[in-house]
Amino acid sequence: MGVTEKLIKYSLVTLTIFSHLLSLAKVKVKSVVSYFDQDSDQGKQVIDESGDESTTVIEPVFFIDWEVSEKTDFHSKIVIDSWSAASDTALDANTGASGNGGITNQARLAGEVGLTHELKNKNKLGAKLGYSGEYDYKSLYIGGSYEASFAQDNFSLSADLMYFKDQTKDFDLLTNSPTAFENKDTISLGLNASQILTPKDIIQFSSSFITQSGLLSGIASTVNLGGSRVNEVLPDSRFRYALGTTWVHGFSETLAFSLAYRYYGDDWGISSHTITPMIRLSLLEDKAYLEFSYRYYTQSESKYFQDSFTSQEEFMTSHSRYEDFSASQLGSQFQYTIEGSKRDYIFGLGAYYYMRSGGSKSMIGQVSFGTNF
Amino acid sequence: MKVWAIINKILYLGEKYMKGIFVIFLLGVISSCANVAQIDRGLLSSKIMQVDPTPEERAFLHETHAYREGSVGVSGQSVGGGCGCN
Repeated sequence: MGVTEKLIKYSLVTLTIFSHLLSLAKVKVKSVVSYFDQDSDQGKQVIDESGDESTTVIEPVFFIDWEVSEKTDFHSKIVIDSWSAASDTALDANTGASGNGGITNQARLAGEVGLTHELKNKNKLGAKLGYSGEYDYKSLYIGGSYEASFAQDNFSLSADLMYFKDQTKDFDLLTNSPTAFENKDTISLGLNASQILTPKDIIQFSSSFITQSGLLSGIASTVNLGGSRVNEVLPDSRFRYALGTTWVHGFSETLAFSLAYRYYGDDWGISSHTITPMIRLSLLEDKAYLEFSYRYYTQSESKYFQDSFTSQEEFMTSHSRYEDFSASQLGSQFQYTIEGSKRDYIFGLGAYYYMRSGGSKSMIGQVSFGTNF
Repeated sequence: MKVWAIINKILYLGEKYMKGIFVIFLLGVISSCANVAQIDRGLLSSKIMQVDPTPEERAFLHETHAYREGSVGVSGQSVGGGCGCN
């Protein structure tokens, strides 16, 4: 079955589910379509030495949130990615792996279902299960969460645990063909605390602790070793952690400001800092929402990264995501609610522009539509 | 650009103490807060006061950042499950 046929089939299945849900009470549906376009010649991992990381992605996502009872919510999402990437094309055109003149389009299908239940003591228990599949990557994941509130809901603590049983392919440059799927396991623990400070201030602290094992290198990633291209080689384990805080302050009923900061570190030698200030506006008697955001990101280089290698090292990568760089992102989101006699309709638009030191840049456009039944 | 170079220096200078700063800041904020009564939380329940007011839209941004940068974590970022964006 071709990619187009698959997209049509899954779209029809989605529409059928949507139609069925129309007859049910207390259902919220939403669709977000994102478009991503990247222009970059900074990818030293690209096999043909061009550095071309040009990528285009179109991703429609369908969300369904069904209030099963007063205390139980069912939520699900379906993701259909379609993309073309110069690095894939360069790899395939160089090796003829696909046998049809190079990879030009790819697709990913993913789905997730979950439940959230409020317990007798008002604490919340959640669980979710998901699957994602693309030509070089498969993932089955499961997760659970628990949230407890204290001091008349002024303070809340939550924990979430996720397990990803992933499988990924590498590329064998000697035989010019993808390898069989190899295992990649990820366990992620998140701990969050949220505190109301004043009637106009709230703060949240978040932390993540992640262990990964298995094949952690990417299929399209190579390095220049003494003038020849060889596969990226990375350790088969990685420990990562992140600490973050977000403060939101309301100046009035229509204007608020938020400031988020995240610190990240891992045992591959990368540390990073992310700062995100944001202005939020409530307009037209709360029918419209508008935000303007800026994101500054800076990271240090992985100890395994070099632009090129003169001698064989135990671990080697030239992937642009592991080098030291800084990046700025400017963006805006707008949402407007039309109140109908039977239901509300919400339309949204978003736009982001991302600039990275070295010259890479990308843009994201988003359109969303949602309603409730 | 010089401004960002100075900011970078400050950020990386402090990272040796980052875990300690985070814990002290967390405990300090929690222990110094007075309770806000339910009736005074009208503004806090509005969309503009949410920690993440547009989670469905934000998910795609997290996905692109996670794949193109060396970092992941917090803010609801996924750390597995594929990307669909080589």
